[in-house]
Amino acid sequence: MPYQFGLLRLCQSALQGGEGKSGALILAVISALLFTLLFDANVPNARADDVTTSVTVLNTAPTWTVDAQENIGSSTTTPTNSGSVVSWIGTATDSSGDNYYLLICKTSGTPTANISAAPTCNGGVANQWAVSASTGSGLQATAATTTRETFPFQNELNDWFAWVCDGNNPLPRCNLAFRQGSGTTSSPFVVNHPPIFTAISNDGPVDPGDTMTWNSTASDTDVAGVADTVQLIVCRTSGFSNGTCTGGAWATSTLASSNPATTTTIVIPTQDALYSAFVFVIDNHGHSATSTFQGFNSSFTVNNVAPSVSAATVSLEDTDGSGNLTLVTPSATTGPFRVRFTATDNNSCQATVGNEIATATINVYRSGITQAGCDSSGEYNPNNCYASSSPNFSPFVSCTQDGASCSGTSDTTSTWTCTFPLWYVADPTDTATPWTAENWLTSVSILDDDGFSSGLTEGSTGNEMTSFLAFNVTETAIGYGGLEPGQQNDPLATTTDLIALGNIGLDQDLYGDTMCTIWSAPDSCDTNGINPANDIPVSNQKFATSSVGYASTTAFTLTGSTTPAELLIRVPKTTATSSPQERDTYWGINIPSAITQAGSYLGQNTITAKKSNSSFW
Amino acid sequence: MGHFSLSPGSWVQRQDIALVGAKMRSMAAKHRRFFSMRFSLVTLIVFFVCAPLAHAGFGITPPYVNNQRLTRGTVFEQKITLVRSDPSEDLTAEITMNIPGIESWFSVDRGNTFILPKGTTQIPIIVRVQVPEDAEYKTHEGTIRVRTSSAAAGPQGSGVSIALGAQIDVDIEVVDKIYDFSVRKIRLSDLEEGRWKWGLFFPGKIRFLMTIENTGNTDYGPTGVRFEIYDADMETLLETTENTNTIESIPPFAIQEVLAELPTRLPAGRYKAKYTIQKGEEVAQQDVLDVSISTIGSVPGYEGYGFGGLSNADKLKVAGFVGIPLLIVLSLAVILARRRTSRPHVRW
Repeated sequence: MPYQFGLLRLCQSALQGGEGKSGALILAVISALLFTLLFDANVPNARADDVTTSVTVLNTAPTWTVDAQENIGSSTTTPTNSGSVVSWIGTATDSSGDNYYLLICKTSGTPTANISAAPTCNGGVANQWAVSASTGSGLQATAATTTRETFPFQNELNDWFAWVCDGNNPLPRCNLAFRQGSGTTSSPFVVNHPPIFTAISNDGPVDPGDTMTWNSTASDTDVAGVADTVQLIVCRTSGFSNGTCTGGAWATSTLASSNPATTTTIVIPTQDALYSAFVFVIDNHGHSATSTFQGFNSSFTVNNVAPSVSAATVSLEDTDGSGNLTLVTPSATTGPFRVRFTATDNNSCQATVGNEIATATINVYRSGITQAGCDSSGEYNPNNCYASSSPNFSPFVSCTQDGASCSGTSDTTSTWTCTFPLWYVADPTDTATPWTAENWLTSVSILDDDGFSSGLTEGSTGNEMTSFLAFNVTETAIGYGGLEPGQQNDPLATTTDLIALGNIGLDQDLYGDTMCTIWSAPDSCDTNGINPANDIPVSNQKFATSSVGYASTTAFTLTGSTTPAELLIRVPKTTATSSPQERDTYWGINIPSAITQAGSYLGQNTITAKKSNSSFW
Repeated sequence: MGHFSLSPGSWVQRQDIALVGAKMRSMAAKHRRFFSMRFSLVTLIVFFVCAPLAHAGFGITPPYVNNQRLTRGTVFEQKITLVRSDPSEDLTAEITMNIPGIESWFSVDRGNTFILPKGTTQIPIIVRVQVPEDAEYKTHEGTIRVRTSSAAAGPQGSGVSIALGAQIDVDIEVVDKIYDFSVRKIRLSDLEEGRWKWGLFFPGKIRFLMTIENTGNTDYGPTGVRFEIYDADMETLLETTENTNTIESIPPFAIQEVLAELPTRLPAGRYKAKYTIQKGEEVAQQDVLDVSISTIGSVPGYEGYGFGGLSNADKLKVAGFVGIPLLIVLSLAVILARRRTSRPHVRW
């Protein structure tokens, strides 16, 4: 029976290659042929009874349609961070149309299929990574598990074996062929463990402009592929997501094998205050450390630093803000003069509360006195030194920050204005004075809200003090007394004073007018010429600096307005504010013998004060 | 308060300060009769000292008109302030000049006679010196006198009254043209850092204000300003920048604040700048000052640079973006226009 040998071969073939639909088909054909042979050869023909036949077709295991692989490749370059899900996908078809399970095991041992339940890995649950839900034949199954830092994910590299099984009842079957994916989605999957972060420190406090450093103790145990590196990130707020500070970063280190450190320059300006700095360590895959130091506030203090004044910005100004310093009040103070300057503070012009610069003080002095010569109370001198520490000056000084000159915390500067008065004796430095080569200067000191001082800064440029010619004559008239014609004041006895009420020494020019009894205005007596009987010529009056005889050569003849006579009376410059310098002029008159009219003679003399030679001040 | 004398050593105080005219003469007559009785045939001259007011402090500042740098055709104005400490009545101020040969150059804004009003302690006057075009190069000296007297009519007392005056010394020199100035004050306005817009960087604008006194006799002023900007410790030079605007000239002898605008590309922060103010080839002033550059939007009213502050590279970008298409359009227009004009006219 050669065909019987042929059947045997077919049987062998079906059993050996039996897989899929072709195997089942062959088995079915063989069964039919055997049935025919058996009944043809052994069963007598022409039996009258019918025979019932039956066969049980056994369940077959699902077959792979799409090989299993990691859904998202988990490799040494793209590991799965602990805490993240690793998942697998695969597709199988069951010839019976049964649902199937995708089972991910740790070993290649054949798993056990279970009736109407998920299969189990060889060795039990301990050897199982994941199993899918029951999935319809031909549909993609997904198995997933969430990784952890610890067992069973403590290893970086984790082999996996994928199986497909059905839950057929009564004969659940697993496909005996496992799959391990291919390329970057193949076994093993790689678990990235978090960095180990155990300490943080910083080198604060620091000044604005200095470098601030954070040092961490941190490392990473993962070495698969290339050993992991770690990075320190310092955030301004506690917000941290996906390796980025959500509220801005102070500093970010480079990746280091261990103990990353990072620095930042504290910008100028930065307010003096305590600043929060939340520290985070991540590895080169962006995986965050999990220790208590992660997100720790490694705060630091920015120091208060001393403010300063730019010498070039210091200006000493007149009351109207322009031109030379000009005194305008005889025998008193003039003001307010102004000192303006720019204050600079690396803590910004704005403090956490109010202005950073709290107060300012000024010394104002003639340059020859020098800054060092006018920086203490005892050096106060109304002629040339107005020291802020002096009770004679400080009560009259007012310094304020100019409104709107501080634009906020990013502004280091603010402008200030100080106002103050000066006495009328303040030394002039303009032309024809003993101090022409000098000028007036100011030195400024500012104090911040924490009491830090700038020290004194002298302005680069000063200003000139203008000569102030101011005076008074106490007398309003000259009384020569009662004289007969031909008589004279001898010696000159009547006096007028000349009081220096400005900042210079004085001389005077004098002139007079013809006198008569009906004098009403200058030149009113001699409009039609001098009448010897009724008019007293101006030249009959004499003056001198002392009580000399009328005929003395040092008694000078008064002249008319066109040719005033100069009297070098040399009133010194006043130096004491409460006792102005003064000198007297002595007057006398000779009554012409020709005068016949008795009576009260009137006239007017003019005293013109002028600046004297400074050598007599 | 005044006095009059009856005889040596016998002074009588008088309170009547309105004794004038006939009353005065009547009183004198009474005296004449009295003395006629005691000193027959002797004429007696009596000098009343009966003044209406006490003098108060009077002064002028400055007491001079000085200028050694006048040139032909220039005008120099000197403000002189007349002051008095007790302005209890109107005073008449009279100005007289004694400046040989050049008095016609001088004038006073208030005229030669004016009132110092009651209640006013300071009266400024402007002495104006107009130098003729043909003025000789030489020095002139002289005086101007300011005399004050009561503005009320008639004598205000009796005897020899005293009027007060003050002398203004004049010392001027006519010379050739001088270009010069001095820097009296400098200051910086707050500024913000530059900003990016449309792919272009608009730099921050440094506004450097200089109060300049033109000490020459010709319109003049700073010819340039340069900033060398360093870090806050003045260790590293970060940027050098110069003014982009034309700095205003100042009239002779005037004091005026002028502005230099300089671009900066530095970010917000504090810096030190060594500034140089140029006077032609000379350095008029060089010093160091702090520069604070604030963040964008933090300086109220700040206006930064527009296109004028762009770098040359950015200007080229703008030119390329706007200029080239414009050039193409213009070229096309020209070509089309030429074609139209060169098309032969068809004559029927």
